[in-house]
Amino acid sequence: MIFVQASGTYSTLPKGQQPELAEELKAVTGKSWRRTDHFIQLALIGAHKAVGTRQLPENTAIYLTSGQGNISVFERICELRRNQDMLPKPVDFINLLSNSAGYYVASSLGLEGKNLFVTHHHFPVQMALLAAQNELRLGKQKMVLAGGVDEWIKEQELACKLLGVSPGTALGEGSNWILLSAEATEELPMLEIHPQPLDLPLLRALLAYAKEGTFVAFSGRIPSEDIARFMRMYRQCREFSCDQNGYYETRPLFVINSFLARNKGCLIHVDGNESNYMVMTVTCEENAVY
Amino acid sequence: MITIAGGELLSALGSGKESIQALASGTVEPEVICLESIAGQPKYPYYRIDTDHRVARADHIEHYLQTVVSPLFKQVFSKETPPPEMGVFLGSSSIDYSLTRPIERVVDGLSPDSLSCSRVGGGFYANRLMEQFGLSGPSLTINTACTSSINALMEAATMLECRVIDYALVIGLELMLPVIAEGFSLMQLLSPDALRPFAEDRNGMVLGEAVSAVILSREDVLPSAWHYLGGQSSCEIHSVAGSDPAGKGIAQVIAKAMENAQITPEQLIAIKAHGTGGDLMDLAEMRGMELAFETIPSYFSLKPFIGHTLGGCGLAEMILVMKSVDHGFIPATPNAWPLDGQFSVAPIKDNQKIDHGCFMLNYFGFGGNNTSCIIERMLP
Repeated sequence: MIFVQASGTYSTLPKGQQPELAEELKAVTGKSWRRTDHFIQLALIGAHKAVGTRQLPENTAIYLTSGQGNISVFERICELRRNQDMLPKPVDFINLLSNSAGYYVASSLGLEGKNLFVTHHHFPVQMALLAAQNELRLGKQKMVLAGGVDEWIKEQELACKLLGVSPGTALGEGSNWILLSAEATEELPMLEIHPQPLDLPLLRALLAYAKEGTFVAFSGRIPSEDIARFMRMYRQCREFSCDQNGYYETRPLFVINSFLARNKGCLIHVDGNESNYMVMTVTCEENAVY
Repeated sequence: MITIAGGELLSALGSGKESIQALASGTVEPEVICLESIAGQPKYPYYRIDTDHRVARADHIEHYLQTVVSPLFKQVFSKETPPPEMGVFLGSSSIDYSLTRPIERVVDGLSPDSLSCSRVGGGFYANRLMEQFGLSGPSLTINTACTSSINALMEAATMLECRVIDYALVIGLELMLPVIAEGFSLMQLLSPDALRPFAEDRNGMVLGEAVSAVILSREDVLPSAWHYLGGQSSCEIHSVAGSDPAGKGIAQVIAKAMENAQITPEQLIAIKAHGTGGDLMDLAEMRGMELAFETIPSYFSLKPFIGHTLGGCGLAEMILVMKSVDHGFIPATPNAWPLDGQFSVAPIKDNQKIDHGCFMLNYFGFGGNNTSCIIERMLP
């Protein structure tokens, strides 16, 4: 188990264009940010919402994850090169090449610890949090700021294709962050990432042993008929669902943050691909300070 | 103790014995290519992994990955099928390879509906490797610019230390993407002729390609003469585009790496410098070493042999260090003379006979990414 010190969420379902973030960014961070693209602005907003007015130790690590990163910059550069015979802007090039979003988050919060952009084909959030959990358990880090950021792009048909979801799926965007520590001086919510993917029999066993009243959340990739079957089989569990603000790959962090914002108890988050499931458990006792 | 059980590298040096011969002789010439995609772009030297100009790199990534991974599995496990619970950790500064084709086609006017691709994204190639070799362990794909693949190795080491896995396949991947070369050209960071690390007349980087793979494990599972002792990855918030030329951030990451690896400067046999041939980058690195060490250990740069392979350089250069030491030497640094007059210590001028000891590997990149780690070869 690792402890959740704080969390912050920005999540929305854009209507026809990327939301303008400059005002919100200034409101959250207290300043304007030049040379930042939409993806970086999303990262800054979510991270600052999680950290709030806390002064983090400067060696706090950052794990930033995303399904497809700053894809609108990639698309813009392709458009410039192929249709206008133009080179990319230097700022776009730098932001494309590296984990610039993580740099801006670190810079804005004065953090000089490890700062990684990590991803995974099926489970970007779970793998990023697993890496953070390992570092905390080994004592390599005292505190980790982990975030999941995905941006909405205008070309929705292309976005659905790249994400491998059905055409017409409502796509959202979000920046959801969580501040984790290895130790706690007060009662705090706890998070556990189950390190190995589970097959269906193991997932069923895990749910069968869930205590009465346990919440279960399923990712958008699990078919609704499978979810209904699980909920019929494990009647001691309650399904946890939150605002329908569109699908994006790092949404599991939005679900965890939403649970922490309004619930006490235990949440089992289940995500899956064709044959494997990744499970995260959040426990927020009645007396937890949150 | 984390063990490094074997490594395979495909670079401009080739992939077999010829790469060691080239390292020993110091004779490597990059080819000169034209960035043809944008009219009027100058020609630059470039280190390709092969010279077939018809090969579109993004379309052949899986082929190149197979070229290094299959022999590595045979070498380490005596068969092509590795333990299924192995984890996969891939580092690249260009994790968007799988997005390239579909986005280009839509930009060219094709309907997204006509694309044959299934789901793509940053984790695509690590996932393909897992599918091809039937692996079920955890996986991470990491982009931290020039430190990507060494950070992938360090994340794998943590996963092994936590005993989440017993084996890790670590991959470094960097192939020619025109947009990357054009970006560096635009920023005037490319040399028009040669990569000259720490030299008075250095004038920029020469880019290169590398695909590399190593197997990590633990001493109790898979013993090896090579060990990963520890390291440090830090974010230097001086600038998104480079390290502080005063060297403070670099000195800090070097000091912390030695602390984490529990070694003293006196135990270091040599440092594999980042050594890009960039004016400010080499200055920052030298200043960092001056701050970190009372006496700077022997150091060398491998980039004149294979170019700056960006996110792939972490693993590619580590493998070259291992292969060199396995053959009883560390290589001299070509093109480093005359030395920059501001620098107090020159890189290794002649090949040095060395077959064991501790070696520091340093990497610094865009986005404030600084990484330093230490590997050790036991006495043969």
